[in-house]
Amino acid sequence: MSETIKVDIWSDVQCPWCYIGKRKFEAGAALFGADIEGGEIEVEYHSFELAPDTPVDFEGSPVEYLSQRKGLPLAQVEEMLERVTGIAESVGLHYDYDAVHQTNTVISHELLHYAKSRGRQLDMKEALLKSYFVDGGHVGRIADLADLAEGIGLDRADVVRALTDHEFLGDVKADVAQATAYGIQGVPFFVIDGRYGISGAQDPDTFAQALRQARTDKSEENSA
Amino acid sequence: MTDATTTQEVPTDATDATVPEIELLGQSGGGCCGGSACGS
Repeated sequence: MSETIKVDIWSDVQCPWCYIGKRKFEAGAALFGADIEGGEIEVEYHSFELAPDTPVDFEGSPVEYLSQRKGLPLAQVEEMLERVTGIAESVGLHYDYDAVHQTNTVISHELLHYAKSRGRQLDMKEALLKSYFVDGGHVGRIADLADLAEGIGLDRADVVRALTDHEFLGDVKADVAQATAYGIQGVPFFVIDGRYGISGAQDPDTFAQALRQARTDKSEENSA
Repeated sequence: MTDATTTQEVPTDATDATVPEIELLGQSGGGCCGGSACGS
């Protein structure tokens, strides 16, 4: 039996807690003593669309978008974003909501599946989240996404081809369907070794404990 | 977004045979959901 612990993470590119949760999970993996790139843990990101009906070019700010979508006063949304921005800062992420381009993320999920097929999904995920929340990038347009992909060493022309052909749209929809089957209603959502679920951007200790439990389970199964 | 992530039960009777039963260890971190009942 493999000693590698598999971690499946459902996430959306436009979810502020998903980037925070990514950092907290990485910190938890470090507490556990694993190098995510070293093979002790295998991480796979899965697609979750928070707002599949959002246009590629939403005319307005994220504050206006959330106010309209959630039916909340602008001031309340501003407070929410200020708070999450502060929490992001606490894990070393410098969110810039004044620069965020609210968009539809389905094509960015297709890119994540493309990157997975080339063994580069983790780098692509980080690049997408950083572009959206920190750098003011647009993650709903093929040309912008191709630039990001090229930035991590992927073949720009082939990325354009795959996204234009929607080669990986079926994989995105399969992830969304699996999330529904799990009963996942919010992200980030972590599934450790197919048996333990963690919802939300938990503290690193929670992730470390879950990883330890998964390792203990493997040891017991191997010795049985 | 919300501080109290949706406290959904992970279904133990999922009809999709490819989805294994999972035990929910943590559900109080911040998270985002798409439904109108959720903050973001």
